[in-house]
Amino acid sequence: MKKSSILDKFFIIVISAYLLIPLILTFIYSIFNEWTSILPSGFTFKYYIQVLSDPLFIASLLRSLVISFIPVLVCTLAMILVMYVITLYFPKLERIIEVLCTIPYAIQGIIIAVGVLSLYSGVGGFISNRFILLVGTYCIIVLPYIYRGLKNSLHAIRVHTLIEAAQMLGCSKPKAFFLIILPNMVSGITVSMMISIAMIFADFVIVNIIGGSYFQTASMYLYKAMSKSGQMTSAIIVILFITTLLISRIANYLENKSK
Amino acid sequence: MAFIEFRNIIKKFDDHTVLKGINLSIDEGNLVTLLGPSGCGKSTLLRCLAGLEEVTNGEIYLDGVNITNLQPQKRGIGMVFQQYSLFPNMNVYENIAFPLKQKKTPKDKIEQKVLEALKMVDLVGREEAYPHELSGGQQQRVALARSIVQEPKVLLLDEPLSAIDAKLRKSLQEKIKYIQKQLGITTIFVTHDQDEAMIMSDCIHLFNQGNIEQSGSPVDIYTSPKTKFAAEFIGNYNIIERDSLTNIFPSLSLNSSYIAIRPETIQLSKEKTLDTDYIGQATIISYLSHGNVLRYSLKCQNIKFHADVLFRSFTLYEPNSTIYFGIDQHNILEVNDNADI
Amino acid sequence: MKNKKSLIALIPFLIIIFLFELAPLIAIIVRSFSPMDEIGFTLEHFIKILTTDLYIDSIKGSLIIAFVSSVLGIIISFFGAKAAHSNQKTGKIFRTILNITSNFAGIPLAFAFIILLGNTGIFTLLAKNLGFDLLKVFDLYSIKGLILTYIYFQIPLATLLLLPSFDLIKKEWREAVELLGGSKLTYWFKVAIPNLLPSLLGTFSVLFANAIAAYATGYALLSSNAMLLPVRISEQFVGDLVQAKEFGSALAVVLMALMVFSTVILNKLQKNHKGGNKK
Repeated sequence: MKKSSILDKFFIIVISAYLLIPLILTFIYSIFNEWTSILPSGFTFKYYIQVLSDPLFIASLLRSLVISFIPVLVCTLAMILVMYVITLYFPKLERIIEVLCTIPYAIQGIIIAVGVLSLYSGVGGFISNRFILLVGTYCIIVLPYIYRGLKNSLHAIRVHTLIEAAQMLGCSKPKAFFLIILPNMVSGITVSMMISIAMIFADFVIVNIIGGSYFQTASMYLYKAMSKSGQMTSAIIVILFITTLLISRIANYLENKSK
Repeated sequence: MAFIEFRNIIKKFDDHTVLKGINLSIDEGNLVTLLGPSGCGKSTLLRCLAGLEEVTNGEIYLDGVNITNLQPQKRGIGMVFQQYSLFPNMNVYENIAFPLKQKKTPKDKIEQKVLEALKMVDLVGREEAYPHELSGGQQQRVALARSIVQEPKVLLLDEPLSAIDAKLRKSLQEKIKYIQKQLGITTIFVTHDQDEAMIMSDCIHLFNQGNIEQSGSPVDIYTSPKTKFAAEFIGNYNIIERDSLTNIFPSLSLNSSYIAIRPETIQLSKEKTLDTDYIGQATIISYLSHGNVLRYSLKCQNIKFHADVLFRSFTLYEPNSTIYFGIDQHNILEVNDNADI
Repeated sequence: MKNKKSLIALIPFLIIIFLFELAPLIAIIVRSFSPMDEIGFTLEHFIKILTTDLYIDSIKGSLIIAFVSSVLGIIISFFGAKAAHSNQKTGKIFRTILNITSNFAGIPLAFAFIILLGNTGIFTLLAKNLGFDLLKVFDLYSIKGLILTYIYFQIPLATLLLLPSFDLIKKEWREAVELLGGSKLTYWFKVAIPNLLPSLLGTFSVLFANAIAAYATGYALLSSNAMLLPVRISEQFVGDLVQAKEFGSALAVVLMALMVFSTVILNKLQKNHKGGNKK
């Protein structure tokens, strides 16, 4: 019994080390001027100051936040309407909706991205606007996660009994959905929204293919910085990583609060 | 016209017919039970009255109005479900106030009515509690308060106590009956538990496979079941085939194919001194103690049957002993099998 | 029926699905069989893919990296999840580490490995100071390096996916095996692993799909020198080469086919296993 628990601890330590070392060293790298011998030298925050005072970085960070938030919001609203229809009136549609919502999970972002770009980039007008294309593509990318989140939070409550109870208390079906079912789903919805936002925020492949030079996000700013200064790149990575963690922290906080 | 009338209600789910032409009248102010095994259609009939299911055929009248095609929220019917159905995002007060808010009742009036309802279910002081902080029994009491606060014409109770443990159930049964009598509200109670039906009802309608098998007062149904199914479902009746019984008592003349005899009407004795109409001889197979009642399993010729005797320790018949049993004529009930009809 | 009115609420969803899921997918498939800038039917793109070394190597590269990183990732994660499951206290900290590092992927991950093991990386220099040439043994900018970085993002994903199924393994099973005189190995090979197998296969399928379509890590490490199918696909649409939508679509169809193929195989394995259980 004891031998196995030592072995277990060993695995945890080795794996944790493998996962944490790159992360921690990236951080240390970003706060020193040089690291060419065993220990780094020249402690400084200048790279952070440099990055944070670059208006291009701030602009790209804001773009990242905007492009992360809008598709998730659009997708969630559209999915809530779908859930409204299938829970109240057409439960049989659920099967096909599920398939449609799982396809993006199975075929991965890069394929959708090239598909969207090749279909609409040359068309002109509203639909070829790169921002619109990004929003649409990201909607599809996060769709499986939003769908799962909504479905799970629907399953967590007795939807049909609650709606019937509301009806027996003088409330119509649609009103019951928005007054009773939806408020009970909020925590589940927020969590899957935050996960989706964090996912888009970290994305490079889709924005690189569709956004290109038209829509620079923080990921692309990072990619360009890589060829310039190692320390600055590390600082950007740390800033973006903290932002991502903050987003998922908010999700956890909201989840716990609603409990 | 009765207060509630079901006229030839038929309900089909796909090919399966759940209600096969129910005709039923319920008088105002009564507590009526729909009793039957699961899948007999009792809950479906209740849900048709509530408007939660559409009837395939037939009409439902409530207080003289045809409500067959009315939306549930417009029928003025309250309902407590088997599953806990309090709104998880609202506290007790908000839950009970919900139906009043739907009717746009003034705020002070809501406050007063919610308090009255809380008093009735003994939950004053728990206004701020959320459903997940309440026990199952408390949740159902809130659900009851929430249903009666809107002063419905009819209150429907769909097995509201089946998820609650036995001890608490008893006190809730009494509570429901007390409130029902206090308010004089017409109530339909659905259950599969015959004891519960006996305790609560003014009138029982026994369901079997989409039909009403028998209707009557609890005493009626208990003492004179009309069919084999009713006898089996209501009491622990001994059901015996006619020919087997006439073999034992040749002087009996019977019309129905089955005979039902309640175990507690069979008398047992070591001596042949019983003053009953019929006396036979049987062997004790075994006995079981049900609290203050001893239940003997007996065998006479090839018929096995039960006899219940009040537990008196000084008269215990050991297994394999031979004893005399006696039955009176009026306790031999002739019942029909469904197949005969 | 007036319920039909409610179908209006599906319109936003259907528009998004049609414009950005179904239409692009259909377009890719149709394009992959169309000649350049013309209407018609051709297999030339697929023939070109299967006869050009660059594309064959990229497909091979993607398959090897996806397979090896998934296998190694799942083995490591298996022990990690097992350890986290039996040590509740350390397990909790471990879960937090997994949750945090699961956000560390793509370009940041590639860059972290560059500053660690790259040509002037910290470990490389450290080894040099100790008189050891790390680059001779391990080149980050090779298939080995790609596998090492891929494993990094596979571990948190796989462990977090496996952990719930470890919770389904009951302590009583182990006790039952012990009471019946079975050894620890008997327990793992006859009871625990067969019960975990469906979730192991399911997790493997997620890892494989995740790795075969991964782009950012490889691209950041090797840019267009990466012998990876996703890199080949994206360069048909952006960057150095002239845009070749039809050819790029054909490459995307190949990637899709690989993913569908692997999913089908794994599903079949999973089903066979379940069937075997029933007997």
